[in-house]
Amino acid sequence: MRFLSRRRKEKTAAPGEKLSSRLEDNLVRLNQRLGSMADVVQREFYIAGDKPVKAFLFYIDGLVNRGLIDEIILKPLMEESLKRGRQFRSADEIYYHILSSTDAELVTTWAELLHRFLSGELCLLIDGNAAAIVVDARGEQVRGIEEPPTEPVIRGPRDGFTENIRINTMMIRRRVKSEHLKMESFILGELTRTEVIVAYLANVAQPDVVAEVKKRLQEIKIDGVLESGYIEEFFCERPFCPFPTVLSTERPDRVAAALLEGRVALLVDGTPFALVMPVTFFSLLQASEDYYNNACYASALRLIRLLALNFSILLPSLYIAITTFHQEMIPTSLVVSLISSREGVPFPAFVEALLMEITFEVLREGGVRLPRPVGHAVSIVGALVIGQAAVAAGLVSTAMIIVVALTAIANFVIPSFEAATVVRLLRFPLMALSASLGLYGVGLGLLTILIYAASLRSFGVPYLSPMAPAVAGELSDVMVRRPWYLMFFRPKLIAGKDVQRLEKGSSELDRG
Amino acid sequence: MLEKGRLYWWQLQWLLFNTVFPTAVMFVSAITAQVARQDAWIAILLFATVFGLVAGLVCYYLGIRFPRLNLVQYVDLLVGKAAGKVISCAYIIFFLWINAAIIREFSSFLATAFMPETPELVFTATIMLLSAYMVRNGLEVMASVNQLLVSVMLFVFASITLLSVNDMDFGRLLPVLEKGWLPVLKASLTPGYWRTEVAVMLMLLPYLKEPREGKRAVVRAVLILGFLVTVDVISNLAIFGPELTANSTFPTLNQIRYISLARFLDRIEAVVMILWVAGILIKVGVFYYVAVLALAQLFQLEDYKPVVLPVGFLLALLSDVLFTGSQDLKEFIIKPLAVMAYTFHLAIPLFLLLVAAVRRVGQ
Amino acid sequence: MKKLVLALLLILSLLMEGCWSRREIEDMAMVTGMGIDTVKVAGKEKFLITFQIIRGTGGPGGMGGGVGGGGVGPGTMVTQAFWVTSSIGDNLADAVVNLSTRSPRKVDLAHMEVVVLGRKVAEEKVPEVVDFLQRERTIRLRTWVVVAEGEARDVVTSQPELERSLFKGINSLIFNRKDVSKTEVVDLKDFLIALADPGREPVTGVIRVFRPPEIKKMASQAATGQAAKVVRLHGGAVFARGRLVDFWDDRTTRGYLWTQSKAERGIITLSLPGFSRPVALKIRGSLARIRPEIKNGELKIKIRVRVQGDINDNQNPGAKIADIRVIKGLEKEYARAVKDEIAAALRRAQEKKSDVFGFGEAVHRHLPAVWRQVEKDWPEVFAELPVEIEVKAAIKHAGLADNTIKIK
Repeated sequence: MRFLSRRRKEKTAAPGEKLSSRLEDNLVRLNQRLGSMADVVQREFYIAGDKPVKAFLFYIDGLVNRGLIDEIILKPLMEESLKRGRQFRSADEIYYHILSSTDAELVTTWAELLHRFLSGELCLLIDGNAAAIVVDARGEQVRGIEEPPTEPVIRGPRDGFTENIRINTMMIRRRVKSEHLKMESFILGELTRTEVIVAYLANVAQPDVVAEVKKRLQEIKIDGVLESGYIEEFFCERPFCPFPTVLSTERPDRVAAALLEGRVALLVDGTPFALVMPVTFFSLLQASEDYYNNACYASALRLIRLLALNFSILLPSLYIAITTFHQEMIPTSLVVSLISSREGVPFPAFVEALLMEITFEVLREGGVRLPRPVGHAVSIVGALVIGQAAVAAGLVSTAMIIVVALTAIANFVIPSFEAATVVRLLRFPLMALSASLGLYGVGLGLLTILIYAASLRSFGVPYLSPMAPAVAGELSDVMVRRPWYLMFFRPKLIAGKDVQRLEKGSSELDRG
Repeated sequence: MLEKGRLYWWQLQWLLFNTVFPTAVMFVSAITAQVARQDAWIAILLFATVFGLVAGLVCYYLGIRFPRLNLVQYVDLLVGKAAGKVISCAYIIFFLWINAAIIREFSSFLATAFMPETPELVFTATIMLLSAYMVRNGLEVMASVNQLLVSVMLFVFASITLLSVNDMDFGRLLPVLEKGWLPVLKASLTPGYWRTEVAVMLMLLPYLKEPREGKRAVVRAVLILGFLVTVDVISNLAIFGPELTANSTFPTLNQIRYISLARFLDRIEAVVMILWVAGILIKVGVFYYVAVLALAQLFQLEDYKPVVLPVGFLLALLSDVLFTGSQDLKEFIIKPLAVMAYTFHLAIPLFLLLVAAVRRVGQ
Repeated sequence: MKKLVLALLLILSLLMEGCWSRREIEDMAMVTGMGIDTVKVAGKEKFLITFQIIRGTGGPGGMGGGVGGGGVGPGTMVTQAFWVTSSIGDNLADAVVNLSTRSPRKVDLAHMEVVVLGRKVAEEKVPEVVDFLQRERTIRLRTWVVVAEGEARDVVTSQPELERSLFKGINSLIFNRKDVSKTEVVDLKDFLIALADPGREPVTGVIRVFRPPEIKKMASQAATGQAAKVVRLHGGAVFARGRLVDFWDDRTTRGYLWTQSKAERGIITLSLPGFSRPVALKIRGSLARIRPEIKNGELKIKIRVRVQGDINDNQNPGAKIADIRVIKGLEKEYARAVKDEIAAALRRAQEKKSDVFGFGEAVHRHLPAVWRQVEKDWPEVFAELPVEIEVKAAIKHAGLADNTIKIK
């Protein structure tokens, strides 16, 4: 069967079987399609009047606000005719005169009807009409808006996306109140029929990128989409690419900022993680908070993050390389203590490092999986048993523990979880290389990573820009967060048309 | 067209820069100081720059006559098909030969100064694999990678120079022109041909976004090189004096070895070595790339990628077979390679330019 | 995917076969310093090198208490942190390698801070020693080169005081030299430059071994009746044409330091005009200029030195030391003392035909034409060279006291 991806509000009837005008026929069909669905509520009733018309109401329990149904459908239908002294029998009439709901539509095909029904709308069949009325009276239970746990900030808005796409679009729209903010809806997943929304600022975003995103979305033919990660992987540029070429975030302010820079955002129903594209590697090192804090402080933070990135990717391999190949680099007094602390250790530095790094990864994964109350136990086991006991038993050296700990903490500094994951992964081949060829091996590894990253593109934007290729005027952006009164332009490689973001002379401070 | 990537002029500039710089900074000051003593810096600052500029401009004016064509493509138009093929072949052989020498310089440097127990073949094999990977990714990626590396290299170069300023005694550069200009001129032949390596532009010029900007790229590359290599030589001479500079295998390495950060961090040469390896990667990559591209164009292949690995294998083999050891390699670098370089970087392009001017071929 | 597998295989194979140059740090015998002597073995002259090597303190937690602590385990073994050993070979390279017949760990010279040349080696074997020091990649160019007054092994086997490592101590002594200005030590690079430069000769520090009188009285030493050997660094070892030719005392060495702008701090004792007891000045730096000139067809060297000092210790009670006239007189005295010291150093150097001052270098740099004529027999020319010394002295501060108190 052909996968249907259609605009939701499309008025034209899709090709497919039409509804019958006889209610009995329709009910028979309906029973065939919807048998064994315990969560369906069905209600037969008569539209009041001198000649009551039989009508049939059905919806999925839990997705619909029951009070609303009584209020806007049953009550008017069963009472209105009496009040007005007029018999309503056509769906059109009911639609136009009686239904006191803004979000209602007439549907004439089975396919459309079922789709609406399954996505939680209320459906009303009326005898004698070859059309059904669907009413969006959704009232499913949703999680409230909370602070996003994966991207906490000290300064900045505290709301995060939820699993409900409507609330999410609301949070973006509330921030960007422009008619240029377009949100196009797609339905993905043959069975899950998940709503996906492509959001962009029509006057800023590059049209090619928007078109490319839509094209790639439409090409995806999959049975289900449960999380934006499904889609993210379809957007990879290379097979088995470890680098994230789209950014995922839980923060509506971050999405709004990205939209303003001319990026395209993708919201997926059922997950609080939105996708933002195109992204460059260095933008993954920036946190939304950078733009709320004092510029000097934020710039210092960026430098620290670059440092942490280097620490986290290089520290274990540098330790291995320096202690086993380039001992001349270690200060002499340190050599004495290193030799002393390594003397009883049975493993070569590489194996020692590997053991400790793997142990740490295990602890970390354990910490994520374990129920929260047990989590503390893990950290105690990790810190005491593995850290202290291993050193006391002479299994690992104290220096190694310091290296592993620093690496781990440095890794948490990287704001993007995906980028941090890559770094965690790449550490291991680098360690192997450094154990076999010393710093030369580390250099080889880094250069390989560099060439690979330089050859990547995220929706046409070179992944390492603005460093390579260098973009005039944006190089500094990697390390320095420009103060807002000097942020005249949007990123040139990302914003397509309207590059100006701040008008000259908006502040006294920019003249000088 | 085989290469679809397009470069900005500054990308070409830094690419040309790194085509010369890495080996120049390591080998040139000793070779020059052996002849010109404390005046080595004059040879490098003045004469070598002139050689470089002449070669660069000749190649530019030759290339600009044939927009969107490189040497292998337009040489046929200039001297006829048969002679053209011969010249193209000669260039390919030259590119391979010089690259073999570069690769061997690289591996023997690492084997002498860093890891004497490791077989040289390991260094050759790894750098070839890596540059093959880079060449396969195309010119744009190479230029991008280069750009990132150059910024780090320049930063480190500046730091090294600043950190050793304390140990410099500029009196060691005296007396200036002790034996007159002749030894200086003679000494400048080696750094001079090093500088003419910017002639790889013959193959790269058509891939500029705006080929006319190639002039700016090559002139600036030569001048930046002149400045930085001179700084390097001057600091070598000022730290070690002419005697020790001429006598060391790698004076710049010694300079780095001599740096001591606050009595705490000594011997940072291994870290700097990584950057030097990165520079060499670009240098090898550029010569590798032009050879592969020329080969693909000579045989009118659809794509140059299939020849990348075979050529890489050939290069690794050549670098191993052609030279026996460091001293043999040095001998080759000083004499035969100089002759070859001047022929292919200067004489032949000049000849072709004359032919083009006389026969009014091209624009 | 194929590429990925290929890359992984490559890395794995490197790991399997690799590790050519790899060596765990605890398997390294890091030499912190060595002393070079010659010995006669079966009638043949050989090199005897004495090393001091980092041993580590044995096992985990050995350093600084560590964790766990307590109990008897491998960690609680008390060992000396350094190992002193020696080996013999036909040349330096051979001797260093021969150490591996005795040392279970791989010998590494990268952390060598000091090379001590035995007196005999310095007198006769310098050419046979320096090439290895320059050529071996692991040796730092900042390694200090000092000369032992007697045998180098006496130095290496002597007792460290205050520091745990003898060579860390010597290294610090070398850094202290600027506070004292009674010795000059060159590192390997400067030693090599001065050896190679036809217009300059190296001067470096002398290490003297002695048994300190104060320790004899201490209880632990009383039993043996003999104090352990310890070292001092002072005075200068002067080379000429690759041979040690002279040992200078402190005063002569300082004479040399004045001419090299290297007398930075330290104390100079002067007599105060009109008083019987001396005055001690704190040296505040010196600035020297050496210029060659041709006068009446004769080569002549002019040394101009400007020195500064502070009054640090006046032993004449009641002397009006802060009086400007007294200070003027003291400045003259200061200048004269410096000039005397320089003259003394010059005399000793000319005696041994050793151009430690770099006069030849100055001639080379400023009068290259003259240099070409005299270069060949420079030592002879140097020995007869007329030198004009001009010293200007200034006294800057007088410390926290004005005039010295009168004692009733």
